[in-house]
Amino acid sequence: MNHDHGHEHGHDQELTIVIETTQGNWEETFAKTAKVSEVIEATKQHFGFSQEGNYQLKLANGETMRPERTLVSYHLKDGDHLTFVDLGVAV
Amino acid sequence: MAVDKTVSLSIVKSELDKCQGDAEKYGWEISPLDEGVLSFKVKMISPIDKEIFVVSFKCDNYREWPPYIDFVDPVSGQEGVKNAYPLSSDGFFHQNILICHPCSRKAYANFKGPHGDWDLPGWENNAKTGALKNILAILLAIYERISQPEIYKGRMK
Repeated sequence: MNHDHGHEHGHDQELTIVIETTQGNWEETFAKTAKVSEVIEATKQHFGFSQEGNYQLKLANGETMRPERTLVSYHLKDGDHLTFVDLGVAV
Repeated sequence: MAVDKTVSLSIVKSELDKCQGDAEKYGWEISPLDEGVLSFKVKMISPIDKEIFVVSFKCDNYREWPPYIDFVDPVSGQEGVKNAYPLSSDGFFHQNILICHPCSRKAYANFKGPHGDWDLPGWENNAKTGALKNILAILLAIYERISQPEIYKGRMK
């Protein structure tokens, strides 16, 4: 019982989202308090993108997510889709 | 080593198919692919000031080499002129009239670009390529750059 309660409590603190990239979609669970920058970093690692991109996450309405904000601050729900884009580094 | 034209054609067709969803979403107009020279154009409009930009791709020897990307003046039809290019807050759209990034063949010294330090073969593995490894990713980068007020600075003069 306590375990279940704890599990539910833990689940309440997590968010399962789908990150869309040009290399495919990735469904993953993050802490609701994870920062956007941490999700970007995880996405880079998952797809093997290099460190030198100019990466952003965007909401379904097209708004660019600020890297220092948390996922929960955008009121995301389980199953929401985010778009991962690379604007390209100027070299 | 040169890529057989039929191989490049197949890859480009496949990658263009993957652009259709975003083309509808963002209002891009993608021209029919000229299979003879593996070229096509994409018209997109800045949501900020409604300026029209036409991006030209030539994809011979793709994916051994990155595409040759240029901009076309939507009024005069001239390709590779400064006025055809957008201006951004950084040097991605470069004053030398090119996209200065490993995804752009025009940026390489072999094509009179500034980068003699990059190799055309293996361009996808250049750390600075980031995620711009296919046509859709390149188009999205260009479109985002003409859509975000912090980055987009109008038409290049």
